[in-house]
Amino acid sequence: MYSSLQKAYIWLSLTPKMTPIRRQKLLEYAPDLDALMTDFEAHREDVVALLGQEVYDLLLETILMRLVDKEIDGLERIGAVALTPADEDFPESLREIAQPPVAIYCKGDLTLLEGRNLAVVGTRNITRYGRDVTEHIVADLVTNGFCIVSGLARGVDTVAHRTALEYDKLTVGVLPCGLDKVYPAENIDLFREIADKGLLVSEYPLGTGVQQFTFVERNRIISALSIGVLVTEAGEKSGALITAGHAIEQGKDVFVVPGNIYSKASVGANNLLKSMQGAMVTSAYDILENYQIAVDKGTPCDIQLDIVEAQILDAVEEGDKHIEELMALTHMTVSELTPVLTKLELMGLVKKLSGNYFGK
Amino acid sequence: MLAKVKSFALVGLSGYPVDIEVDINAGVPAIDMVGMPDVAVKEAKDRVKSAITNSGLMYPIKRITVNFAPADLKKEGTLFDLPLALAILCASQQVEPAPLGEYVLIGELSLDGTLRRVNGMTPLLISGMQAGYTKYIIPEGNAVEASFVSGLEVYAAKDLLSVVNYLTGNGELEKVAHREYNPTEAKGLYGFDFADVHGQAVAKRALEIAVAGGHNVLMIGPPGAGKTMLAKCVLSIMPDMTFDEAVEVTKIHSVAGLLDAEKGIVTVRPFRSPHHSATVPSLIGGDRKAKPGEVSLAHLGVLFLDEVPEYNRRALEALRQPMEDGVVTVSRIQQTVEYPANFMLIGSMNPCPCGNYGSKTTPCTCTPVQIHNYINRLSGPLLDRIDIQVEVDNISYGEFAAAEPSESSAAIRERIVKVRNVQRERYKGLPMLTNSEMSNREIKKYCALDKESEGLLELAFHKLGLSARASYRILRVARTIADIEGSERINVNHLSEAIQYRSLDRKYWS
Repeated sequence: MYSSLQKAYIWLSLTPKMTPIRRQKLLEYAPDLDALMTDFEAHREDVVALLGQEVYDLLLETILMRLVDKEIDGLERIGAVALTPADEDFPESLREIAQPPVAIYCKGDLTLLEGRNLAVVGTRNITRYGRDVTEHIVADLVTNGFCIVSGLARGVDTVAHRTALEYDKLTVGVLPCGLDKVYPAENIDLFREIADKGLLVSEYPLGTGVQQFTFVERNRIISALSIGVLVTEAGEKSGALITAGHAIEQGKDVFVVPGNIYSKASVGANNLLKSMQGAMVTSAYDILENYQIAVDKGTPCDIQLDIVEAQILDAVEEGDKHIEELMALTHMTVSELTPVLTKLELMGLVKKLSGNYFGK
Repeated sequence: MLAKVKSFALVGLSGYPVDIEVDINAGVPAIDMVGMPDVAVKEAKDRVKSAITNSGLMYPIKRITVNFAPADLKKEGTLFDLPLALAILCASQQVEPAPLGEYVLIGELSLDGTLRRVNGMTPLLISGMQAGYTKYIIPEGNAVEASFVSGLEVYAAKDLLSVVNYLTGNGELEKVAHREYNPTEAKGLYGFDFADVHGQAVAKRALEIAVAGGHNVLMIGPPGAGKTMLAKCVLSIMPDMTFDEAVEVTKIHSVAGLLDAEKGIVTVRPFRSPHHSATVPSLIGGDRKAKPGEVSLAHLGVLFLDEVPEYNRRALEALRQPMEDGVVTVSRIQQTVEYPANFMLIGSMNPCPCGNYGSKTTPCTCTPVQIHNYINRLSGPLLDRIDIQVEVDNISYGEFAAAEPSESSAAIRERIVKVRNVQRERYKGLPMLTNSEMSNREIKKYCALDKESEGLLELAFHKLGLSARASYRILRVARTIADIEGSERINVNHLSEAIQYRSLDRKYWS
């Protein structure tokens, strides 16, 4: 059951055109938000003077059409809840930021809202380098107790979430749309999995589609829910830089992985590094050290490898190898070698790359 | 006076007897045709008239009525010229009905009386034989293809006059001698051999498995990597066609008018590579005459689709039914025809629209959405029918290749023939020949896994993000690999190798 105050916050969240500034004005005018809502028409003149006729009409419409109750029903149907500043569970970190949300809608494990969360963000147009970096660092972070927060966008976000899930670890996705929408559509599996095992968060009511500004607004929540933001790969105008900017404003840590200086996909990350050189990290251990977390380098490999397997591992350690190089090295035919490679791949020791290359 | 001559017509690949009846009466000189002749048949009257007069014979200046019986089927093509001419000559008493009635006549006439080659002779003769007709007079140009049909008395004629002379006892016609089918003639006709392909070890192995088990293949690789070359090599490792197979292919090619008149029979497995602008009817068969499409022309051979995602979506979807059934049914207003379409599909595609995805040297300029859309142009149900997906090496990789001489196609084919025999033995009594045709029931029966293999499969699904529908395909391919290795049961190694041929199923592609 939602209290009348909670409902009042949801009321603000549901009404269109209620920009953060207008919310602020309204909250200052009426600290008892629930009282205002129950007797809204009595305050007509004041509210119109404060916010204008149009916004007043919209606020009234939300009340008259009982949209708050409908929203609560809708949330229940999909197994989600709304958290407002009136709730005890509402994360402290969100109260502190500039333009705090009046409600967040959550689906999944609410305990993940506060904890050892680290945001991992970056470009949508991920390169192989960005993918490798993200997978590698995220793997080390999650095995050392970090929960990954990201935005479920294409590219780095997707890789970060997936890697966390692959290690059966927790992850939080902050959406730029209502909880019932999926964007990008191809990530539908990921949405379901995160709702199942982690947590989906959105400040937008059900049915809200993505818009340009929702991506930008969403970023401030990503950084707010985290203790730091890691940028793994970012082009010149990447949204990840906005998230990093929010993190700085909110007094959070920023970590940046340097990129190839010739690669367009790394211009943004490298520029960021120029302005804040202390942010550079080259492995998850740099981040762990920052928080003085004892490093768990994983259980030592107790798998017994035979000579051929060891030979292959040594070879890919030097760099990506084509399967025919490995064939020449091990004096094996394709049919003999592929089972070995599959085995190593399943043990997570080598990776199949495109074009019949294998790498670490 | 009335005359009647036998001929044959085709519906799809099967023929039916047609009686050509000619009645000559007194009246205004004219010729009337009934019995649903199409344009080409109607035009026969002008050709026949000129051919008769130019052969030094007499064309009756009377009222001529022609009936093509059975009168309710549409008659097409030019093959009724010869029987029509003879029927007119018989009705005008220039030829005796007695010997004429014993023969089935097929042939097109040119204006000077020369007989021209017609399409579809092989299926015509075979259905004639099945219907119990033994004596035929056909154009000289069709003699070679006729020579492969045994048990018939076939006479090849140069022109109309020689036919008339033969029937009136004034001359002889050359009797077509029966020829034995010799599949070894095909050897050396394949222009491409695996020995000429350097490197590409993975792709070669995958193609060997594919041919051995009758699996369809999708090759993924950058432009210029040699996908087309590899596909063309596939013919050279397929087993020789048996006589029955050769006849089946010949029938289709004969109907389509693609038969080489000098060879007379198709001994080389067909390789068809329709352009990606191909329409549904051109692939499946159709048009007004219900002609065979590319899928039927590729029957018992290879249908190669270069750049699969570029093909029209509807055209690709239309391939599903023939891939499943091995036959294709073409329905037109006039008729419904069934053509065999049992082909091996080899598709090729780039890893992404720009072709450089995952390349070490050139960066890919595609956005993830573009790649996603590109891959998604292949629908799930179509991919379901492609057991093997293999990556082809980039050409820049040549530095490591050619360290050892490549195996020749002949050596690979020998292995494949053995494996095919194993499968034939296994599926005795079942309507299937290869592992690729196994349904879920057979997979349960013939692809039992031991504990270790089952664990591996489960791990692979989890770790590599394989989709659920991949499992049956992996098992089919594993069965073939086990057969190649001469193993009764599928073991971990076979399964591990099969898992490597599922590139597109991996979630991380885009």
